[in-house]
Amino acid sequence: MLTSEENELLTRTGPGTPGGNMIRCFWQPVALSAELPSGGAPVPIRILGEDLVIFRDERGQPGLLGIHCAHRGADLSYGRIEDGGLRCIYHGWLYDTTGRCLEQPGEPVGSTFHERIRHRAYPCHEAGGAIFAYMGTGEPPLFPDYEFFQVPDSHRWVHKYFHECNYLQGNEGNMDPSHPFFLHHFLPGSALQRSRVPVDDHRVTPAYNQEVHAPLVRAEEVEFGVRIYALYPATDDWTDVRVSHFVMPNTSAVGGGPVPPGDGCLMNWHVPSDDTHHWRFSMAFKRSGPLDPRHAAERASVTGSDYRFARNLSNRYLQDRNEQRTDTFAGMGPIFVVQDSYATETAGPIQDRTEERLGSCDAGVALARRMLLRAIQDVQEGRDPPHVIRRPEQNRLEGVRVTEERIPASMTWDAYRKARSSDREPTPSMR
Amino acid sequence: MLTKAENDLLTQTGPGTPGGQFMRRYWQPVALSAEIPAGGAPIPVRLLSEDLVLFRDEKGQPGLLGLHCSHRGADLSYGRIEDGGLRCIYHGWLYDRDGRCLEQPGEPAGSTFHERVRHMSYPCQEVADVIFAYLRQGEPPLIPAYEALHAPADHRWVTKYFNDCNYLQGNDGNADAAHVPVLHGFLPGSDLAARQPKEASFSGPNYVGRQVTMLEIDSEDTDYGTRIFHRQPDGRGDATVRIMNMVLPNLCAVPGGPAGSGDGYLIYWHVPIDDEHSWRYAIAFKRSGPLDPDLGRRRTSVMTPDYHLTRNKSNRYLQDREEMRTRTFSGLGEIFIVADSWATETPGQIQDRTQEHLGTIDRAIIAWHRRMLAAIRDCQEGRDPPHVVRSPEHNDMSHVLVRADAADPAKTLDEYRQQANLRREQLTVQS
Repeated sequence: MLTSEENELLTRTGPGTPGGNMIRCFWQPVALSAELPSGGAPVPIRILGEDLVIFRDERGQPGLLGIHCAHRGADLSYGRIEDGGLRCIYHGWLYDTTGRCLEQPGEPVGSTFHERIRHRAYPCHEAGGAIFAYMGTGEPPLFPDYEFFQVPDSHRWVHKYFHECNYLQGNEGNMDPSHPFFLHHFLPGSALQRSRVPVDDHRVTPAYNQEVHAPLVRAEEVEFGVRIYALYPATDDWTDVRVSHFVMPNTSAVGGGPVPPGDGCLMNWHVPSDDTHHWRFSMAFKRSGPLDPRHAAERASVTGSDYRFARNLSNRYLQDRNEQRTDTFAGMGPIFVVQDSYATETAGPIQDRTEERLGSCDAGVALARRMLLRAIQDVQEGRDPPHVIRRPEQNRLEGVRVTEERIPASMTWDAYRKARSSDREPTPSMR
Repeated sequence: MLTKAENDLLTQTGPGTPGGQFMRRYWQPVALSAEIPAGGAPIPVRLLSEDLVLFRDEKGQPGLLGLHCSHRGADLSYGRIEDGGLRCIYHGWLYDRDGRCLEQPGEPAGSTFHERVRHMSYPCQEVADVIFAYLRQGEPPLIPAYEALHAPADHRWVTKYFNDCNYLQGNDGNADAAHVPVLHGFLPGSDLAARQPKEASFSGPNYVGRQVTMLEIDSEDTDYGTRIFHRQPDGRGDATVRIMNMVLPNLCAVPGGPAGSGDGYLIYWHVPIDDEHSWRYAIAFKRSGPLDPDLGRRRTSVMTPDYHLTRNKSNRYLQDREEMRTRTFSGLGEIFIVADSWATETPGQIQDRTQEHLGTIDRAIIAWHRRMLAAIRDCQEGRDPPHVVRSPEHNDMSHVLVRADAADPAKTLDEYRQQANLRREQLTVQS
């Protein structure tokens, strides 16, 4: 539970808000590379409450500018890609990717007016099939070198989904290892489960097809965010431990997606469009080899060409009561991200966290909020928040690995945590 | 660029606002005559943020009343035209054009209650197939006798278009002839380049080679608003000079429409629906003879029956990127009103003019905004603003002079302007 003031701090990310200033300290995905094919049209996007246009110039470089022409405010996303930049179709003003105004055809010969225009522009970086932008002030930090960016294209998958709610409740869904046993549960004998593209030879998609039971959840703060442990009794003698992460400030690294357990991860970046809508950029990779391309098709099948869900708030997610009796727990088809949409969006455009009741399975959620509130305070007091990477030696992010392994049932969480930290992970240091 | 306070003054026109009181000093178009045919239904109209009902009584006279019945608020636009007025279908109250309540069938015989009800009503006049209303108490002024309003019916063409934005940015576009060769440019070598409108040098592909177009613009204050002089070389050694007018409080008289230069002109009247939506009334005429009846049909081909453009914000104006490569600069088709709607609507519902950067070509807009602000100040100080016409002898509008002429390229704009002033009488009486 949060106070109303805390909830406001965490959920408001428009220009000039404390939360917005904090999130703007980090690189954020703003578009998929596939949205900007070479020679394609500019795309209007709204990110962090700002209306922007993203385009690819003739050399293939992405640029992100304020959507309204500096002249008289017309929409630059209708512009022409030519002559080294983006040209407004109203009076022909031409901008490059850095926001310089190169031409103003209507002004007199010799005019220097164009040199005095500096249009709003944000630095872009293209990696892993997505375009990232730095919307903060000052020198951008280093681009975080997650393992996702290091694997070959064939080993990874990226997509985005539009959610009709605040970004934070979207990301909090990732920090909760308990809900899959209910929300994503397939009933015994499920035909929809068999219809899914299998994740590897051994398992048919993440198997919540056992008796419904919830894990024991523990969480701790690490340098880059919050580490969440979920402990599942496997047999009388063994316990399965899955480790996932909240990653500052609006990302998670979790198991699942098209990735076999422990062989990569799914990173979900929940990027505010405005305070009541956000984009989920899903980026998954398989460490050991190429992903089955059928995964991409399966996961894109739930969205239209505009990356919005066919099953959504306006049609009650096409929930099917008959399916609930025979096949799935939720009655919303077999694709988990649809069920997650229901869970995160129906809490309201901005969830009122003065009215929630967190339990033991929400330990990660509670810790992540504390860390975010401290990060906002850091920025208000002029410091970099945690996980803003300025030096190359800080950019070794093996700690973000998502793991799944089996430990003796007699081993306590604390013993496992210490053994895991000392044995396998040189980097994370406790705060 | 305006301050926020200035922008608010110019764009807010609801009841009680300074801009609204200014607009209410003048007659405003409220509907086309064709919208209320004899025997037709009343129509709900929203004008200057007031919800009203417009109807034609049994004698054919237009009436404009408050939309909500004085009794218990039901919508009078569902009412019956009968017995000398408009009758509410809820309890049968009957109103005449002046807002008098003629009957209250549910009240006891002999009741004088109806005599004490005075429903909101505004005076109407029908001129040039347009119904005008005066939304203010007190003696209305005269409707200015623009030549376009008094041309014979078959010399005249009127329609209206919905604009999904504040009225002012629509009218600002009329003060800006510099956009024409850019936004409305046809690409050299395309099939359209051969199909120039009458003022070929003006509407043609002056964007060839993206040369600076060497526009010259000047303006002067007049008793009716701002007169604009505009000289534009065509890049082939000739030049066009235009004289056009921004007319208080929310209209313009400009070259264009179906008549050739000097043989008529076009009035655009940008009427606030509310602060975020407006109607653009178009009134065109040809002085020398009847208009081609097909012309109106061609122009309305881009509209739905309720005067909305089929290419609009919601479908991104059906911009065609292939057309941008081969035929038009904007990809918005060859009917200029579509591109003009794009230009006026995409700066936002109410353009934030604190963020614009006006250049040399925009000096007429700057002069026009100053003229409007001075007129608003007149109203605030209790005076009639300019161009409120109260006597027939002051209602000669022949000096609302509109020209588009091929000009001697050797002559400066100033020389031309002096000549035009000298020849004003001669220019306006020619037919």
